[in-house]
Amino acid sequence: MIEVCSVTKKFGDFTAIQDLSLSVPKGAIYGLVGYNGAGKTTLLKTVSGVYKPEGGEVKINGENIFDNAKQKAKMFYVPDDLYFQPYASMDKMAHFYNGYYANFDMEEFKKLASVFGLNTTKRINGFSKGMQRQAEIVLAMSTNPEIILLDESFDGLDPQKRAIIKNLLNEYMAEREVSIIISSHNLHELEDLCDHVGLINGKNIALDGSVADLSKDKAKFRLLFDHPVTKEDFVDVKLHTFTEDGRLITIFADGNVDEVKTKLEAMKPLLLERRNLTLEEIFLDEMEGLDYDFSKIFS
Amino acid sequence: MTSQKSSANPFIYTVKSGLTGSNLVPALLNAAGFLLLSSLLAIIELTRETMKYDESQTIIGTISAKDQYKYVLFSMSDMTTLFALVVVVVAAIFMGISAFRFITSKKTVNVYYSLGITRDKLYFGRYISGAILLVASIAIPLLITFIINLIFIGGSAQLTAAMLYYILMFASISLTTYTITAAIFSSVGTSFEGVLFTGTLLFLPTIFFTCLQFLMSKFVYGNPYGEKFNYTTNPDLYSVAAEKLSTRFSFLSPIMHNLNELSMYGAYDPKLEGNPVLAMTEGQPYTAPNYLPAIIWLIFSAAVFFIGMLIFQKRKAEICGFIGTNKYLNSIVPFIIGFFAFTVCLYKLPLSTVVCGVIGLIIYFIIYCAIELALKRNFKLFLRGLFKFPIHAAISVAIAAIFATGLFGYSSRLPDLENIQSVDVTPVGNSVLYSTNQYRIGSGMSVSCATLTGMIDNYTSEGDIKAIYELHKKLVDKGAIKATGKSELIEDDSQRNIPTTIQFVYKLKNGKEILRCYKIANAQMLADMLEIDFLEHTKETIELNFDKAKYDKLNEIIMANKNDIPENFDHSSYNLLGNLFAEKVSTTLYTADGAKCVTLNLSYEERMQLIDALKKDILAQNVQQRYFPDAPALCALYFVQDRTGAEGLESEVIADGSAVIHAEGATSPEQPEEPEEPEGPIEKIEVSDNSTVISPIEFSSNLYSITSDMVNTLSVLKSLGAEEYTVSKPKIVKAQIATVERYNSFNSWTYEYYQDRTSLFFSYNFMPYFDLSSKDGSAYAMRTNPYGLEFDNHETFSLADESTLQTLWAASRNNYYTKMTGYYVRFTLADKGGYLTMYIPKDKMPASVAQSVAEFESTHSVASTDGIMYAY
Repeated sequence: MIEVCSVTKKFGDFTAIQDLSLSVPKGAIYGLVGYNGAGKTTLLKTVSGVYKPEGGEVKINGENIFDNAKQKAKMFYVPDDLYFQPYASMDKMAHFYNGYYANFDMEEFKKLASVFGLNTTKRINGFSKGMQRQAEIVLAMSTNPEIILLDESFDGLDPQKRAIIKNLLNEYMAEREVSIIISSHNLHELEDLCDHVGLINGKNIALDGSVADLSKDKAKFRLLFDHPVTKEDFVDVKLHTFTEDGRLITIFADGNVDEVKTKLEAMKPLLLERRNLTLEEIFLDEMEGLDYDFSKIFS
Repeated sequence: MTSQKSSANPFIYTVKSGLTGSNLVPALLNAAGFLLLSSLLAIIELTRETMKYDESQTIIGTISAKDQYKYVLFSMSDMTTLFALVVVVVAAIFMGISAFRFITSKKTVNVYYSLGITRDKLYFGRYISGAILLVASIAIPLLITFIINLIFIGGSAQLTAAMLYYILMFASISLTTYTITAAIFSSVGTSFEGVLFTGTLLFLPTIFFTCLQFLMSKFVYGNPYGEKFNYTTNPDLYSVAAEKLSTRFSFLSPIMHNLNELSMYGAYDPKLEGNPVLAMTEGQPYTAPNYLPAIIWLIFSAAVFFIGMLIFQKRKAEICGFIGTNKYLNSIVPFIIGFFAFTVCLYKLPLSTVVCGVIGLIIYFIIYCAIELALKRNFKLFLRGLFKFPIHAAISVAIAAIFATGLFGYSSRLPDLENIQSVDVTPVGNSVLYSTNQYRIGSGMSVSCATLTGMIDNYTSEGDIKAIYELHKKLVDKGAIKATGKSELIEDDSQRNIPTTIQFVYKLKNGKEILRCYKIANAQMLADMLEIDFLEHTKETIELNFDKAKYDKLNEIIMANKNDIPENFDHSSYNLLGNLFAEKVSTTLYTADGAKCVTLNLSYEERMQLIDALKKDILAQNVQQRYFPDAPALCALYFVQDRTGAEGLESEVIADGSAVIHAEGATSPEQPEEPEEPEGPIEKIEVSDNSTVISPIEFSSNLYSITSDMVNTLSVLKSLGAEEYTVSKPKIVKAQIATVERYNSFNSWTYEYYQDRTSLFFSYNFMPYFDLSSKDGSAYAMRTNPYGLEFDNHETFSLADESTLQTLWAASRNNYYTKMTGYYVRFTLADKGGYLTMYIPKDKMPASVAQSVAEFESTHSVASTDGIMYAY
């Protein structure tokens, strides 16, 4: 359980995050979204205990994380700016983390490395940026952490490797009750992965909640009629968006999903298909009317 | 398959990982340095065979190391341990960088600060591994050297003590340096700052006290620090260097705190005890090494370690990679560097204090800006921080002002009279009387006196102490003064201030010692200090230079130890007294005009009678007679020992004018030619033209000017039939006159007429200088007097009027306390008799001549080398 309680972090005169609170329960993957410079890395470094906040505190399992060896031993922070010892191979780094993490599993390390096809005896500085990220994630998961903090860890990964990591994380989640925070400046990277999301907006969290909660009372359907229909035909449904693609119509409506479905069925469509909301749609809906430049995170 | 789970202990792992990798490099540097400087050199020394000589210096075999040494840990050179010190410091700094540079990188900080280890354990773990490597890399090579000693020589308590001393001492220096480096790295954002601040802080005490030394030397009248205290009455003319402030406070320096002692225990040869030439034991008996400084610095290191750990715990991770984040160190470094530049300008620039100060502050400002810009790398931030410079400048000026205003009364503070046990003081008069300094007659018939007036030590009588105390008080009351330009003509001669060296050493009844050294004194004050000549203890000192019993005692030592003259034998006194009391002594009288050289063939008794009369007359003189005589000297008496075969001993003059005695049969580099045996009966008095005198040149001699007040001496001379030679009527054809001030501007070396650079005692010679063209043949080629040539090379007022010349001759003096004003006159003697340079006091110069000289000098400029005369 990660609890960020009214945390303020300043760099000299500049306030990076102010009075920020959020919580990530056990078993949750929290997607932290925000444009570059929004404060994601600062928040993650504060959560990991690298930074000491000027105000508030970060609690892990109820204990303040700063200089807390016990809690940190259960956590692995994968920074955006990766560090490997000079001329180190993955094996050498594994030895390094093995020295600091009581739960480091050498067998799992080898297994995970082979999943990504990484040669653990080769120097890591000879790896591509994407391979280095994979190597770091392999090392992180080999420590069997209860908390994983991933800072822009999908950046630079090809879709295939991204998918592998997502699968790994999901599998890992399924096996253990862990908390994961994964930050990204690109919302699409977190699609199909996070069950919680937070949007960091400069100094604070502008939106925070579980995907399920945020999706609640939001319904997306695809319909096909044997006769022409217009937006005005959906009088009983509180439409959010209405999109026509030939005879194929996609709507995004507010309200109870079952009730909306019943109403739509009454219109006798040839096809009625419920679709999952994308994070983008959820965010757009939630942040409607607010001053936020979404283009920076939807790219 | 069971998973291979770790059983990690982060602290243990931190320590273990710190014992490998890059930390090994400085450790290997240390180890290599010690193996080379200690183990290897010890083997070389211990396997070397030393030649063994008998009494006649014939090789009779070899001495093995076992016979010579108790142990050899380092070579018997100061440099070896100094090199070892450099290696230790460099390795420790590198170790600090290697172990803690991770803290200045964002990447590494992200990892290390997120690991499951507390910051204090991380710091401790990183620290302890480096410390282990450093200590091991010092101790292991020294233990190897210890074993080498056991093999070659065998064990001894001294060997064990020395080994422990060096391990402890070098380990403490290494750990202190390493700990400071670690603490600095914990408090800054970049490695550049870490290295810069570490270097600065390690040398901070040395730099700071060097700055204070500059200010002390510049401003504090009487500053003794860094000055040499010379003693003229000591047989070896020894000088004791008073510590510089940086040395005095070196105990505050983490590196230099034990520099002097570090070489003392490198090797131990028991036979060298008591030998001051060889540095190992400095002539002192063996004493066990002092471990206390090492222990104190280890405790200091422990304190710095805890401070460093605290800083590490509180450290903001976000500062890494950013320069200029430590505001305290950011202020200290530009301050200490800027302050150093400021004080160097004040001390070194030959300009007025205000101008020096302004230039110093400008340079300080430039340094400040350069460092600030380098640290902040942001012009706006730099401009915003500029307000601190006035604070820096104000602190620097305030510190300088404290010194300039006498350092809280330090300049004028004297000990209480009743607490003084004894005083040593520099006399400012005719040092030949109370020192073992002697005149030398050179090959050009010139007379020189290579003197160095040091202090007379041990004034203990109440009257003497009070008199010296009062003079000191008077000197101090005049306050810090500025030297008058050497060619500066000033209205009021009492305001003339002269560079000199006046020293006082008070030994107090409580065992303390108070030292003062004055580099400038008012000319009248110096004249007042001539009173010292007539104090009880000074008279005793003068008497010692006429003490036959002392000579006999020294002679006995020589005769009894022909082949093994004791190291501490008083050669200077033996030579000085030998010129008076040796069996064969040449006694010569020079007429006042230098025209005649009269050899007095005296019996031993007659010589003793003459010497006794001379002593009585000198001791009976008052200040007026000795230093401000009413009339020119009548003649000069010259005594020199005939060393050619005398008493089986020969002397060889060495550079400083003292002589080394060679025993009979011993090899001498130069054998003076045997004097020709005189033909026919020896006359009591032999008179010759001075140009034909064959004097025992290059031997130091005793030369005394005889003035009309010396009635006893004149009486003896009369009884010897030499009275007529005490009256001179020189035939002068020309006089060249220059004020002392003008003459001083002819060259930068203005002491040719003075005994030394402390006294203003004009003590020239009776020997004329011959113009090379005035004589023919090579016999005169070497007779060019090196002095007085400035009259040939520069325009001076001259006159040839006979009556005026006689008036000038009557006014001239060959021995006078000048106060650095008055006139030098070079007389040209008739019949190619050469030149004679004399001094005429201001008040003795006829007004018309004085005016003519003034007019001449005002219309004939000299390319002046005006500046400040420098004392030794």
